[in-house]
Amino acid sequence: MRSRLGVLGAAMMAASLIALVLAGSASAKLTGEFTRFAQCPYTNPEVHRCLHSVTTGGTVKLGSKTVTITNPATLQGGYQDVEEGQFSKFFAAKNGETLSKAPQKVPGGLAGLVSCPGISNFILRAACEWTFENGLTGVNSTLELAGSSNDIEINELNLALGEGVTLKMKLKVRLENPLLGSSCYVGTSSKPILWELRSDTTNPPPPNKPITGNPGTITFLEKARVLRLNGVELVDNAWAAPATNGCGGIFSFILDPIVSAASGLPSAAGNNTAILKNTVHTTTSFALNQNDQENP
Amino acid sequence: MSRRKWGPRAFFSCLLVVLALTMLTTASANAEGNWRIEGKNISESTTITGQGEGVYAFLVPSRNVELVFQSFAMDEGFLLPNGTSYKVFLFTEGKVYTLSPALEEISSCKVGNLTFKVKGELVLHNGITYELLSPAEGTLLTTTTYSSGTGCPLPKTVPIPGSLVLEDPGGLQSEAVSHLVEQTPGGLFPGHGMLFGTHPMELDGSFSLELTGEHKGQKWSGVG
Repeated sequence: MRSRLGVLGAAMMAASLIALVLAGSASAKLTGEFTRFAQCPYTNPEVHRCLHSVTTGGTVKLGSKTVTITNPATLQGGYQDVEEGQFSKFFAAKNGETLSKAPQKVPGGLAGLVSCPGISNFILRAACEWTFENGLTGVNSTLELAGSSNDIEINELNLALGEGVTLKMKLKVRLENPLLGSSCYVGTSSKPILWELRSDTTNPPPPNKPITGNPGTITFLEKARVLRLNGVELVDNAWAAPATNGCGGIFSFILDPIVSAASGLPSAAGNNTAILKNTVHTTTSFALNQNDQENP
Repeated sequence: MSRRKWGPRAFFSCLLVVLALTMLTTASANAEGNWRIEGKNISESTTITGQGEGVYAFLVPSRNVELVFQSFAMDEGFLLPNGTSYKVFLFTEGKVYTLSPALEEISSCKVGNLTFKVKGELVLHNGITYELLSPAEGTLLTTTTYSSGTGCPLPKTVPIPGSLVLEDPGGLQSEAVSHLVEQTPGGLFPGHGMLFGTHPMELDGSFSLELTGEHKGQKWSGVG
């Protein structure tokens, strides 16, 4: 009996020790420049590298509206090592915020999208007038991923060298205002906006003309285990934008055409432009796991 | 009146002919370039070997990296008639450094050996003979590879397209047993030069070239 209790006690102690070790491992902290990669799924053996890119400025011309980026948006997650010239599979950020929601003001606000007297439906016209009377005329636009984070494709070589397409993303733009409701979008998961961002020169269909991005400058951090690209300008002006959908909730059949017409949507390829100014950091899962172990 | 009209036309026609003749002469001068051994043009393939002199630094300022190789070898080399050549360079024992803010080794990155398989062509420019090296096949001079799984933040591979112009500061056209050659900074014309992907890359380092085989120890030169 005593020996059985002894074995049980030893097993419990061993289990406790293992739990402690695991807890220690789970609570390991990244330090210094590595902390920005905290949301990268670097413990996933399929993930070889991590990306943290903050868009701090730039403009997006969508149809007839040009939005200036004033609120930083972060793209983060993991990706795989691939052979030269190929695009890597992307892995979502651990907290689910692969692309952070950063609302940007639409110039002209609601007045630039909707004219209340022009709305024939009485209820909607009243709602429109109420919105204006209450000063709720600001409209924000927020970029969101259309579909899965796995749909993002990154070409690390092109990112590092500043040539060719660097980042492919399927997006939709959410337009936010009480009148427009909570699901007013340009683009859907099934019909997204496709961006193929690059830091060299684009080749858009007319009327757009080629524009050139900037590959940025490279700095090595954390004993050269983190690569920072400053001043990276990613551009694409060869994409198309569909019409709006879901604007005004149940009245979307009325508001969608109005908002689309005021925004110049749908807008064919060659009429839209994205210019994103970024600070990009990349590192490896190896370096992150090493940093984890160095700081239990 | 008609004479006045014809005067400038005739002048420009003559000028065009002169220019065309000059271009043809230049082209034929390049085509007539040849390797010489003991003052005589070679008429058949001749073997050549290369010896390293110090270290070799491939600098890429715009990407803030420098690849430094401790060792160089040219195991295979041929001087061919008509001023052409075929050479295989091998750079080994490489390390990667940052250039800014300080020259510092990126210990997490191991760079693989670089093999250049190039074809050469003698070029006469401003009275000086150079050798223009371009990829023997395809568009790449070589490809740099970096260790993965060691924390190296550089991409796994970076292609090196472009061309390389070699010069002998002592004169490639002067007869010598050994020619110490190095990369001509900036190449000769726009479009010349090695690229790290799309970024200019310069080679800092020199190596000596000597005849081997039946012509070992003999003086040789290249005249563009």
